[in-house]
Amino acid sequence: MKSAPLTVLFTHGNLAGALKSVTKNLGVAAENFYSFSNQEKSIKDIETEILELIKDKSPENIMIFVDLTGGSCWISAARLKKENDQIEIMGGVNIPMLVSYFMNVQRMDWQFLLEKVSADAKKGIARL
Amino acid sequence: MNIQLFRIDDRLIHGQVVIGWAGYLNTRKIILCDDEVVKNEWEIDLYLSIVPDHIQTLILNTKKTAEYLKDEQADLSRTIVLVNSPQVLEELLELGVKPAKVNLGGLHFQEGREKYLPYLYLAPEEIETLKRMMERGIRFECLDVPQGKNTALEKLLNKKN
Repeated sequence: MKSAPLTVLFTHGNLAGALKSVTKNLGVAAENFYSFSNQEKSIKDIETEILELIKDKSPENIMIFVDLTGGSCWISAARLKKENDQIEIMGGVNIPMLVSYFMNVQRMDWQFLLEKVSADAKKGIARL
Repeated sequence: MNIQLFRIDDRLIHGQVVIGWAGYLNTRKIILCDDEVVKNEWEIDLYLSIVPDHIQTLILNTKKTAEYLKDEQADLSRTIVLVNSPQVLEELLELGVKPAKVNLGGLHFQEGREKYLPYLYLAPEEIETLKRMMERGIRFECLDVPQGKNTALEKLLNKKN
């Protein structure tokens, strides 16, 4: 089995914690999964903690999910990615995105996974 | 000077500005004034990528911003001006820019800063800079988003002391 990538949720308000909690409550196996909220900590502190996690875990792949593309969490994650090619960022995080990610992360090639997660997140937005 | 919003925000362009303020004010132009960003193409591309197409974005250094804001031909209606610190605003004042009112929208936690509001932390030297500008007639309003509670800086500083 591949080692689990480092997965970070980085959002406004307390959304990251809530998304993490809901994802886990759905029974999805989520390893190396961390949430950061800009309500609890400054952006700079979060950046530092993510860098420490990367240093500590030395993961092959790193995923940062953010809520608002173009928001301050996105900008901050983009600055981290600039210094670290392993980082992938996905904006517009939702529950279908997280579920798809954790259901497929251990069985799919990283690049295929990114495409699938993005497609599943879009599929999860529906009108009835 | 008929600027919609003259804002101090250490995040410069981000969600609150683009979604909150620009939407609320029906803004058509954002001027980002920063001597460091203007020298960094990666940062310029990043900021430009997050502004909707219908809003023109100018990224200028302090001197060019002052020239632009003083240019009588420049269309400044429906414009937001962003700087990342009180010091940059004071430089603009020195260069002849005269905003009547300035929005203090976000100065976040850093070592040496003290909390005044959840989005407003100030260091002693920043307070001195703001006070100097208040003595020059600049009015500062603390407000992160349009729907928030507007607090005059003077009142906030008095309350703290």
